[in-house]
Amino acid sequence: MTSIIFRQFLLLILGLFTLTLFTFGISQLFPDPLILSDAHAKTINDSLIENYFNYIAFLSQGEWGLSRISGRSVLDEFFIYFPATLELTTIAIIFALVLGLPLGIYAAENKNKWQDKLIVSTTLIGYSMPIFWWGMLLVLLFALTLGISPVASRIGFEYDILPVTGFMLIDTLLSDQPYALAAFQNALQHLVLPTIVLGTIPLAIFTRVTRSAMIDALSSDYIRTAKAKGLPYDRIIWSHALRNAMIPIVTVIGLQISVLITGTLITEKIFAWPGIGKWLLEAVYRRDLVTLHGGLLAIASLVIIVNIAVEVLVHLVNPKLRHKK
Amino acid sequence: MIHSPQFYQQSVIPSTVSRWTNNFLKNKLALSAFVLLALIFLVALFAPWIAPYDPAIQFENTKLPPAWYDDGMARHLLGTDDLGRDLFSRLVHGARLSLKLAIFVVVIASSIGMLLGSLSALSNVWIDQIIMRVMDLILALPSLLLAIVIVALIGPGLPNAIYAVAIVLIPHFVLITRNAIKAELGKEYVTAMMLDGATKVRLFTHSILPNILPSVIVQITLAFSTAVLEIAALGFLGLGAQAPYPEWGTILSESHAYITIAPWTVALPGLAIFFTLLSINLVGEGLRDAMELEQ
Repeated sequence: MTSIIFRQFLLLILGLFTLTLFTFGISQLFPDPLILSDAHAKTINDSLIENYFNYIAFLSQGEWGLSRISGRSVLDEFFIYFPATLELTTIAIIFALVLGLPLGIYAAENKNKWQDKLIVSTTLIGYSMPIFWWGMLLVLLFALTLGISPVASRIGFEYDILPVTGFMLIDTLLSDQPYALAAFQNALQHLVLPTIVLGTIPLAIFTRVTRSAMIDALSSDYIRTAKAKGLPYDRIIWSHALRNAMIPIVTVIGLQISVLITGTLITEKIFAWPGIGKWLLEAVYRRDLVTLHGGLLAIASLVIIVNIAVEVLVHLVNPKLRHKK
Repeated sequence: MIHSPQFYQQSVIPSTVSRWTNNFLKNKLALSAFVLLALIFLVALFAPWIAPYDPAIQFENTKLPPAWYDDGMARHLLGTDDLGRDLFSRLVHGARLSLKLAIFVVVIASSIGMLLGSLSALSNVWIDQIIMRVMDLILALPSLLLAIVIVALIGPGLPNAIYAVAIVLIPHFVLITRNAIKAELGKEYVTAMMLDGATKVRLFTHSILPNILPSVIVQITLAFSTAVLEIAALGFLGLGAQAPYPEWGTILSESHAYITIAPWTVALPGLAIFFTLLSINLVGEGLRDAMELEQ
């Protein structure tokens, strides 16, 4: 067990090392070399290796440079914009799981019947949906035509909420304004459409993975034994088959983070959501390479860390891997 | 009995390819998706002859609804956009542009990816490790983010966006090729070939390559649909094809502002992207089932 954690830890270090090599390489390619701070500028010389170590030293001190748009520290800005993205992606993942798992299980139970075929073809439609178009269609129908949903942003402009945690749902509840509860409801309404848009592709993927993992699990010998023992049907499905099917599902959940970040870039543009996606796109349009460098580094480290964490988790929950030497 | 044409017991064993074709033809959904995809390809191929007008010509009637509406006009089948350009012509030319770019991207990504994958599987541990770590890194970067960074570095525009999408697609080909080759190398028929004294090159071209082809073909269809989507997404974000180009994503981003006044200029280009992606994905799915590959 410790050897697995050690191995994953080494992979993490190696991953972060290649990442910094890559971002360092990019920073060398910039039209004018990337300067993280005044102190960093003084250390730059002809030796690439020395420059690389200085670069790493300044990064680890939290000197990620100043945004060329706002003049603020890039790392500070990342933490200002990140909660909005984290809130949206977390809710989108929950949405995809809450719908995807039961749908996948239901499809697996009715394998090759019409219900299964309907679910599988719907997931293919969801998978083929260009989400920028899907977002615009939902806005056109629910916000502009029916008027039952807000068009964009995180909360109505009439509410004045002090950012404490950066998570709108928590901040509205913490607020001591008389309209705190109304603001919470309003923030929830603003979340509905972006969640659907961002969650559609993960929902399609989760449904398919759950279906195929459950089909594999249900056709195995231990399920036949459980049936022969006369266990109740629900118990076979939920505690025997699903527990074993969870391993591929957890792996796929971990892989979704990359898909979700690609999705937030587009979703945040459609819904004017003040998160990482909007921040980075603004940086591209204004060619603010310092912000872009910081954003790339932060997001890629996050993806690498989450992937390794999921790998460790899979090893922890899977007894077959846990006891392997 | 003696004159019966079937005197000896005969059975025809179908070749692998004909077995695949038969499997694919039995799958009605995949077959209809294939027909749709073929139609889209034909439209793309003969775009200049199918499109009634030049995609850049501006007419007097701006924001004209499609012909089936009361105030539509028959000469503009799908209406016109905010600048009075014929939407049908733009979409037809858009199909040509999107498919051409996507094919180009997939050709680049698959050839580089397969080359690196074979190199990784067949050469020593060090080269393998270096290639795999770099691919891990590219896989860890969200595809659109990587594309955006590349575009930001070398400037927006069609060619740069194309390179960005190609780079993003390479790691999948490397992984598929490498893993498939490693799996084949362990099999007995390869050992038999080695014992027969086959050279390394012959081993690779005659035994390994034909056997990894199914996985690669499925990956090509997946990559093709990703390429169409990512090129459109970059166009939508204003980083891919620039304004006058009739690229589907660019058309969508231009008409985003007119969504309430001219909803068809948003609905129709999206529908074109959607049906292209759906048919590619269905064909890919059908191919995977037909070649009896499990993922």
